[in-house]
Amino acid sequence: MHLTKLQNRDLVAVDKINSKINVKVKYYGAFRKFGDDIEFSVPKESSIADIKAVIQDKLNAKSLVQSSVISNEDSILQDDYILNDDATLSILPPVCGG
Amino acid sequence: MWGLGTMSKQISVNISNEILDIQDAYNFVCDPAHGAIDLFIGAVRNNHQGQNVQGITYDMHDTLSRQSFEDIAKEACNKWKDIKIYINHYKGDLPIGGISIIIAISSTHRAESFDACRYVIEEIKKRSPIWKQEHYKYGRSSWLPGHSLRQESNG
Repeated sequence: MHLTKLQNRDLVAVDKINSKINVKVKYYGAFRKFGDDIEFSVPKESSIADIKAVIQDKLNAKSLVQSSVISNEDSILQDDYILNDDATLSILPPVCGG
Repeated sequence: MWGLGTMSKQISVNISNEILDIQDAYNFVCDPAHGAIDLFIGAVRNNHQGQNVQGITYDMHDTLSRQSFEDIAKEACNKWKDIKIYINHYKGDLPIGGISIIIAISSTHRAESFDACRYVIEEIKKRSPIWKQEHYKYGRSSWLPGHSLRQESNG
């Protein structure tokens, strides 16, 4: 009985590790030189900081990514915001409108 | 051609890829009880830090830019009572002299409209997700550096 409980818990943990979500990040401003957007998979419950780390690795644009923020269609998301489902996001570099 | 905006009796905000219309701004803020209208027009200039500029491309996050315009306009309405605000920002390519933004604000007396107009343009420059790509001779271009939204989002 005890063994069964452990196995179930382990299975849930393995499921969590294996569970991936698809993320699309749209480019604006200085990121446009890399295309319109980027798509990749990350583990479920990844944070916005994790998303930025992936983009930073893929683009080799550390300074630009670190000075940028990630948003959805409604608001800017903080670095500790957790993604549980597939998401379409935007990466917003420093702004200069007007 | 398209426009993306919202309008109330007091506030009109818009994003457009059509030539911005100064008369449209005047018509919105014109009010028989208001004796002052302040008009700010942003225009593309032909030089920047020693570079000969040929034109500018404006890129925007449409929904967040429009939301920021509404937020800033509402803040201005709270700070300065009984004003009307019109904001329209261009998206796309503009030649030298092209109008990138029009802000018009009317009020009973001039002080409120001057102060509110300055507030609105300065906040847009700091907070609205808009980017400029300058174009130079021989096909060269550059995205201009700006204000990081990290500080804004972290309060």
